[in-house]
Amino acid sequence: MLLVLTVIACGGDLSNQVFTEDADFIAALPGAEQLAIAYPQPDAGPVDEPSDIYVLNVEAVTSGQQLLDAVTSVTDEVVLLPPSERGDDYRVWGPTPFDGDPNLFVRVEMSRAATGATYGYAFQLGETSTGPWWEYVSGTHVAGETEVAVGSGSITVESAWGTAVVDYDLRAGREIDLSASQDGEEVVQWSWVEDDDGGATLDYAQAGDLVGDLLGEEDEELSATSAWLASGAGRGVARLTGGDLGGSSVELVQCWDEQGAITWSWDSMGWTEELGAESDCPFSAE
Amino acid sequence: MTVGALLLAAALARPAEAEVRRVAVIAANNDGGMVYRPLYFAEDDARKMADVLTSVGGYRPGDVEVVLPATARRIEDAFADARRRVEATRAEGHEVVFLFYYSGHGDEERLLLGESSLEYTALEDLLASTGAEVRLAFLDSCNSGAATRSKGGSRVPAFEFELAERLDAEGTVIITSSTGDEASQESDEIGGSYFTHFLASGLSGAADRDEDGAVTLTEAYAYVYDETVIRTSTTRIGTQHPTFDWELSGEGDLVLAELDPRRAVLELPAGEAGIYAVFDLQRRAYLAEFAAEDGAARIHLRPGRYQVQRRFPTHLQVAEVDVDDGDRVALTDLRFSPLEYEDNIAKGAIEKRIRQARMPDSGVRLAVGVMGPDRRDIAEQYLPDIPVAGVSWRVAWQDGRWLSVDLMAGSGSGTLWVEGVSAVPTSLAATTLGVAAGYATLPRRFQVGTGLRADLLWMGRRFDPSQQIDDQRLVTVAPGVVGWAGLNMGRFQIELEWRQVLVLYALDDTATSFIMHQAILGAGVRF
Repeated sequence: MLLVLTVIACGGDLSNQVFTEDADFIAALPGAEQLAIAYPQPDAGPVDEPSDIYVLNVEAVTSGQQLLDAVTSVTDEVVLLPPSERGDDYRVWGPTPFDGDPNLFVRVEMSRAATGATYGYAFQLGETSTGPWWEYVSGTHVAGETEVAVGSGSITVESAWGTAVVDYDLRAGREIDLSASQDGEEVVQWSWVEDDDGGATLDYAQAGDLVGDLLGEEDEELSATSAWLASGAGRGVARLTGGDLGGSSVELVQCWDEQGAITWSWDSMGWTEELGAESDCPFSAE
Repeated sequence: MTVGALLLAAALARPAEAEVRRVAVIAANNDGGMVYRPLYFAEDDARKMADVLTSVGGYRPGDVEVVLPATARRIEDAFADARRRVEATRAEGHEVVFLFYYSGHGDEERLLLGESSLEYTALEDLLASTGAEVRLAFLDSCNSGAATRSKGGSRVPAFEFELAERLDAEGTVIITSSTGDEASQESDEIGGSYFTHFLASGLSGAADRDEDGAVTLTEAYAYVYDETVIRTSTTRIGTQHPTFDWELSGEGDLVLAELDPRRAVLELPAGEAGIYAVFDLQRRAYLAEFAAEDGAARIHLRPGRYQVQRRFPTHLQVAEVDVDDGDRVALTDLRFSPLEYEDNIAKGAIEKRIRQARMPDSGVRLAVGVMGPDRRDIAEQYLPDIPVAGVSWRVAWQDGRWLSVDLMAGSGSGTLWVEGVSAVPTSLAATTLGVAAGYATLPRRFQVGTGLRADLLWMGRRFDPSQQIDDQRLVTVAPGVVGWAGLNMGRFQIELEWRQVLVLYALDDTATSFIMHQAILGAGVRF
C-alpha cells in the first residue's frame, strides 16, 4: 500500500517526525504525572488521634513528592518551548529564564544512545543566558517497550542541602525509590511500590536522634514498613533500633482507617497503651 | 457587348409596367438571452428562407435584407432600409408586398433577440411603417401565436382566396409557427424548424397545388399548416399549430412566390408512394420534402447537383441528379439505389450544423473560499484549514455537459497539535490546479451541476525560524467530485461550489488517505 501511495504521490516531504521525536525526548524527561505518588488523603480532614505511622508515611511521601515536583516543574517549563537545538540524537532546550528564580537561566541538554532506548539528560542553571552552567539535576531514562515515558531510570538532584537520588520503574507495579544524603551519609531512604488495585507499600528508613528527649543524644535508626488499600486504610510496623536504645529495639504496630485514625495500636515495650484490637485492621500482617 | 447583353439592355430600356414587387427583411437569432437555451437552426433557417426567396421565389437579391444575428436595433434599421426601398419602388408606380421573416426565440409578448427584444405591438408598427400595400410577417418562434391572438387570430384551417394577377388587397398578414402557448420545434433530422422547413419547401413549389407557377398565401399557409401539424403530431413536445391572422381589404389571393419558369423542376407524379426529400449537395442543405397524395407535387430548383432520397419506413433509396434551368425531371425517372439509413449523406451535414449550433457557453469566475482536510486529526497535526482564492473557467454545452479548469491558491497561519509537544505554530500555503467535468442543468436563473474532478495539489508548510525545520511540501494528484449551484443574473453569475478530492499520501511512512475539501464562493461573467 505504501508503495502504491508513493507512486500516486508525486513527491513531498510532509512529515511530523521531528515533532514526534521531540515528544520522545520530552517523554524521557521526568514527568509530574509519571512520578506522582498517590497517597489517599482523608476526606474529613485531621482526626483527633491519627496513627503515628500514617502521619510518618504522609510526611515522607509529601517531602519526597516535593523533591520530585521540583524536578518535574522544569520539565513542564521545557515542553512549553520548542528545542533550541536539534540533532539526530540530541536536543537542547533553552536557555530560558528559570521559573524558580528570576535571576537564573535554565538549560536542558538531552542525548539519546544509538540504540534509541536510553536517554540521558542534565538540567543546568546559569546566571546569564550564555553560562557558565552547573548541573543540578541529571538522570538517565530507559524507554518502555510501548511508551517512552513508561520506562525506568534514575534522577540525581544536587543541592546545597545535599544529594537526592530517585530510582524509578514506571512499568506495571510502579516503584519509586528515594534516598537523600548529607555529607556522604544517607539520612532518608524510602521505597514506594504501587499495587495493581490502587493500594501501595512504603518502606521508610530515617536516621537521627529520634528519642533524644527521652533517653539521650545518640542517633537511632527508624525503619517502617506500611501498606494501605486504595481507600487509604492501612497497617504498618515501625522499628526503632540503635542509638540511645543500645542493643534493644522497640516495635510499634498500628492500623488506621480511611481517615488515618488509629484502629489498633500496640508496641513491643508497652510504652503506649494498646488501643483497639488487631481485628480492627483492614488486613492481616501477611 | 454580347447579343444577350444588348437584349437585356433593350429590355431594361422599355417603359416599366406597373407590377407587384417584393421586398423582404429576413431576421434570426439563435440566442434568446440567458434564460433560454440557444436554438440550433434559427439562423440557418433564415439563410434558407432568403435563399429560397431569391433563387426560386421571384425576390430580387437586392430587395432581400438578411439580418443575422438580429437585434431589435438591427431589425429597426433593416425596416428603415426597407421603407426607403418601398418608397422608391412605389414612386416607380409599382405595388409592393413586404415580407418579414423571423426565426428565433419569443415569448407571449415579444421577440427575444439575444439581450434585446422587440414587442409584437412594435413589430406591427414597423410593418405598417414600410408603406407597402401588403405586409406579411412569418414568425417562427415559440409562443409566436401571441402575436396573432392579441389581434383576435386563431388556429385557422386551410382556406381559399381567389387568385388575382394584380394585387387587389391591402393590409397586414401575420403567420406564426405556433399558437400563443406552444413551443416551436426544431428537428435534428431536417436540420431546421418544422415551420420554416415546410414554408421553404412550399415556396419552392411544393405548395403550388394548382400548378400555376405561383405560390399564393393560401397555398403556402395550407401547405405549411398541414405538414407542420402532421410532422409534429408525433413529437415528444406535441403538435404545433401555425396560426394565421389577417387584416386585408380587397379581394383576391396574394402571391408569395412567383416560381421562376426558367428554373428546373423536380416533379413527383400523383399516386407515387414514398416521401421524397431533396438535398442541395453543393450547399449541404436539406431543401424540401414532399409527397404525392392527391395530386402531383413539384419543386423548383436552381441549377446544381441534388440528391433525392426516397424514404420508406424500413429503408432508404437515393439518387443524384444534375439539373439546369429549364429542366423538368420526373422523380420516377431517377435511378434510385438502396442505402442504409446510417449512410445518409445529409446526416453528416446536419450533425455538423448541430455541432456548430451547440456552441458552448463559457464563464470566468473569481472565487474565494476555504480548503482543508475532512479528518480533524490531519487538520490538527499536518494541514490546518486555510483561505484560498483563484479563478475558474468553465465551458458548458447545451446538452448539459461541462468542463472546467480552475487555479486556486491560498495561505494562512495555523497551529499544529502533535501529541507530546506543545502547540507548533506554522504557516501553510497551497495551490491547486483542477480540471473537472460533469453535467449541469440548463443555464436558467438557477443552475446546479455535478461532476468529477482531478487536482494537481501542492501544499507547503513553513515553520518559525526558531524551530530550525526546513520547509515541507506535499505534491500529489487527487481525484474527486464537485458540485455547484449558481444564480444567473444575465451575464453575471454567483456560485457556491463544493469540491472534494481524495488525497492518498504517505505521512510519516504511514499510508494515509483523506478528503480535501474546498468550499468556494465564486462570482463571474458568462460569455
